[in-house]
Amino acid sequence: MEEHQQKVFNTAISMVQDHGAAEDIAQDVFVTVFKSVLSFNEKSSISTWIYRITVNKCLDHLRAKNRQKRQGFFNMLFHSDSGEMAYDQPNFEHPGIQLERKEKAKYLFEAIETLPENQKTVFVLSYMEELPQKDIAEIMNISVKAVESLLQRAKNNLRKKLGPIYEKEKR
Amino acid sequence: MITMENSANKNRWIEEVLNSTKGMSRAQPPADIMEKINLKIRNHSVGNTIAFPVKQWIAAAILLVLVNAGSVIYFAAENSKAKHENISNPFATEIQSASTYNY
Repeated sequence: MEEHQQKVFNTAISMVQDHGAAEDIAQDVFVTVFKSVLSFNEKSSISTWIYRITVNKCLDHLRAKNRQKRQGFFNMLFHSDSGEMAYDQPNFEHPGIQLERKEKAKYLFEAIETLPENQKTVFVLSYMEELPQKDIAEIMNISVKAVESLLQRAKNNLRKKLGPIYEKEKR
Repeated sequence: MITMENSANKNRWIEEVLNSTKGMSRAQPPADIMEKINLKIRNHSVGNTIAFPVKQWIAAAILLVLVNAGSVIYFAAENSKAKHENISNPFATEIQSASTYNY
């Protein structure tokens, strides 16, 4: 149980990049697991099933957040009271990253935020959870080839995003 | 030469950033997460067992009120109809009784 909790929480925090939201998602995941454990299809492993629920909850959260952003763009841009620019989670720090890599990981998470849903999911499951491509394919209900291609596209996109950050940092 | 070196540095830096999560440990959920999950599950199951009878009771109460209201309206209408008939034809009983004289 504890191992599943860690898997769920780590995946959620890597996907949504928000400690509070990750905790809420983790709680929701286990309530959903409890509610639907009887309808669990034993074709996949329990771990795959829990990962699938977690990814879906994270994507729901991110979609809701994006909807909110679109709806209240001007309200979000400026705080109504102070008139200051509002930034959306700048510098997210993953608590599991080694100290000497924290700075670079911040840039990585910043770039991950801009990836499309599928690429983000594949990258997080592959790089943060270190799952084999076969398991990722099962979780996302796609072929291993599709996972490979999504991962390649994700890495290419991240390289494109990181290039300008490097130039800016060098200046 | 400098441009090539710059490009190599840039690529190296990008690869380091991409691999910065290697060897990371999993983020630990808060210590009390299990308590919170248990509480949510308990609330969910209590909600399920209580909410259903409450819904049934509400439905039964509404049905009872509707049946009562219907019968009150029905009897009121019948009453007023009877009164109306009595007023509009006060000799009805007399006519009825008169007709028996024929036998």
